[in-house]
Amino acid sequence: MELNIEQSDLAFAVGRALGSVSTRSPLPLLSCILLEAEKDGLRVTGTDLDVTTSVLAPCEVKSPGRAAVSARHFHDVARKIPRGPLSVALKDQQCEVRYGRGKGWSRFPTQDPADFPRTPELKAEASLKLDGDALGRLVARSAYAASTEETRPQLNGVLLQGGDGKIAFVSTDGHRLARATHQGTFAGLSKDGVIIPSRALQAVSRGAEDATGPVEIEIAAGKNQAGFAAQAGAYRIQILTRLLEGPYPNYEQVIPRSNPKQLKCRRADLMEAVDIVASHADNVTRQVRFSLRRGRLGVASATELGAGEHQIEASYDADDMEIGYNAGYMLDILRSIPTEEVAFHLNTALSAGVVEPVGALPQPDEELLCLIMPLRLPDAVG
Amino acid sequence: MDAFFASVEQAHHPHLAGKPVIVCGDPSRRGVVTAASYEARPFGVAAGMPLQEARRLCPQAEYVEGNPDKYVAVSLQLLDLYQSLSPDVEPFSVDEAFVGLVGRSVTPESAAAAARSLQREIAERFRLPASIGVGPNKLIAKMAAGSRKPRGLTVMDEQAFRNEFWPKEVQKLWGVGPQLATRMRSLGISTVGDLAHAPETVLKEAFGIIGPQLRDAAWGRDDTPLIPFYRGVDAKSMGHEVTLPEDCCDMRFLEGTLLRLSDQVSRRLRIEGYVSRVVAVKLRNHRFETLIRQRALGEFTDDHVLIYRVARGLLEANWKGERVRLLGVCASGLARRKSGVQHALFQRFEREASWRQAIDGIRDRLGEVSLVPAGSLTHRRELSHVPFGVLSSRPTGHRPVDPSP
Repeated sequence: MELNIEQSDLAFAVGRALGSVSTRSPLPLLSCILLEAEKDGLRVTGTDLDVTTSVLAPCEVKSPGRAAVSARHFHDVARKIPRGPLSVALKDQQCEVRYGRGKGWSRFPTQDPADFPRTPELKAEASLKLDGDALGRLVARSAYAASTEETRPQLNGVLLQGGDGKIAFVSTDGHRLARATHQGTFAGLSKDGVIIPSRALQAVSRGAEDATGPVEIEIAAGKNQAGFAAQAGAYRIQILTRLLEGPYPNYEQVIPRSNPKQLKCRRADLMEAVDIVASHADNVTRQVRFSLRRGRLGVASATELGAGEHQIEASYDADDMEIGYNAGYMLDILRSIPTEEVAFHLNTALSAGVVEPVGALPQPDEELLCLIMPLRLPDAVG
Repeated sequence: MDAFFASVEQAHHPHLAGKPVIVCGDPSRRGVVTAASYEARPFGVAAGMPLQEARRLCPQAEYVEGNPDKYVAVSLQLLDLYQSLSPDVEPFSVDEAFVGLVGRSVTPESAAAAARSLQREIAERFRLPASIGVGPNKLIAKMAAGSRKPRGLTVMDEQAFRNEFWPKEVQKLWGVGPQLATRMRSLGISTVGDLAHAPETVLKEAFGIIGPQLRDAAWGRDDTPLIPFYRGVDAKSMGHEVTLPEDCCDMRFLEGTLLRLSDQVSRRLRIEGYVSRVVAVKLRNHRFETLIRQRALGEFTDDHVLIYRVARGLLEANWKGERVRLLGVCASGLARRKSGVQHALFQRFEREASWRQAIDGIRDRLGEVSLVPAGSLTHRRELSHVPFGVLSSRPTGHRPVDPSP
């Protein structure tokens, strides 16, 4: 293997591939990235067996070949060496980088690339295209609500669902739920959808930010795989992931359709109130109390840490109500909503509340819906 | 209490009285010595020693399988007895407690008299030997109690404390463990007296904030308050570990064992009203190399399924396939469970919480082994094995043990 490449190209490719390398793996080879000099350029691949990121960067290949080097070690040097052309070559089982026209060199021990996990070939049953910005927004508006715990593995990801002339990104941890949609025809993606692990979507969302063209999404549900590919300037980024096994809970059943009590307020006001008052909340439940009164909303918390209350203006004209929420969940939801005002549709202090943007989103072909379950207040009845 | 577990066995089984008694796990399997009676100690048997070695040193001893339920029950009755002396009782371990006597009329003599009658009452009612130390603070009382065993009664003031302990090795001082002692010896501090006279600046530099505190301790000074158990002290971690019947590299057996340990840990969290945010796995291989790995969770939990899944993930990521001797699961980052209940969106998840409550209710009434996760039945013996400590602060339900033979 021998090639010439720009430092910035190498650093970009290695940096992105590193994102999928596991931090602690019993197999030394999994802490490596694979460098492959092919006729199209240099392909850099990192994997933790669940998520694989591979970046193809332009370069001048003198002789094709492969090498596996320690991902963190190689990245650390690749990002620090001065900008400009450099050469990468495999010599005596060592990977040698020369830079700055003779100014310096670095050598890295290599592992046998033959043992590096093979990137599985994706035989897509469905494929669709989504604008990079739109994909980034859909992930940002949904992925936060996914579970981070292993109790229910199917909730450790985001459900991608088709049908009804739109694509929906849905996630829930059982206490709150977010659904972000984008209109368009996405033939091939069924209503049952597929569950993409949150970790893969992090990488995807980073790739979507870089993308200069649409992101191609390919799904092989039968093989339990999905792939995301995008052109980012001169680079081609591919992310391959294992799908999470369902079934995903039937979330549409739990969306209340006719909650009678409506509250509207300025999103920034409410975020400020919750944020301040949450400082007194205990760190297990993070409970804050919402007191709904005609024309206003009080947010309060009282624990052995201290107590506080914050009143904001709100449009509300139903009966007075006290309801408890996890402040962290509430802030996550409020942060994800892009409009100036938010609306709550509530029923009782023990049932699910709907939180929605008021008015159209900046992108009129998109929609957003959030659900949050209350915390039972110590003095609550029923 | 002197050789507490062994003494309880001797009290309850008169044929064991006067004989070397070694309390352990299942005597037919390997494990370690949990307690050795005073008759066994001259043979060199000590708690923590591998059972095999104990058998070599003292083959004629009676090997008795420990019964944690019984020891906890006796311990609770002893605490009741101490409270007849003073409301200020601080349980320190299953067989140690501090009793605070306060009031203008308390003199070393009156305290010693109270201790003597307490010791007599323990001997008569429970047939158990106890050693009691009397001092002006917890440190001196604790070290005085340890200075004459068994059946000792030692009264010390600060001066007597210094006379007794200054010539002794620094490791004898409460709070100085083997590692600290090694570091102290490298500074030329080998006795408690050396520590008392070491320059404060040196100690501060070498040991940080505890340096000067240890120096105070060497002078017999201690101002740590006695915390009566009615005020309670929050636990920092809860863990269970087990030495496997034989070194094992069968993942299914290890998984089953982890599930059982996770179940025990989560059960204890729930009984004592805690939730945990950090799960650790302890792994010891056949070469006695020990590895502890932990992971923080995104949320607090007392659910055995989550603790088990995290523990198994840690095992998978860190076990290199070598034979495993010991496995442990520990929950830390504890917080008191709060009254606010987070409701679930899906009925199915709410139902799982109800199941857990129902299962807890059955185990409270019928015992820990009445209902266990099926996957944890790795070994037929496990059914009859009660996890140690799980009953430690159960509010009700322990049967009083009749101390009479």
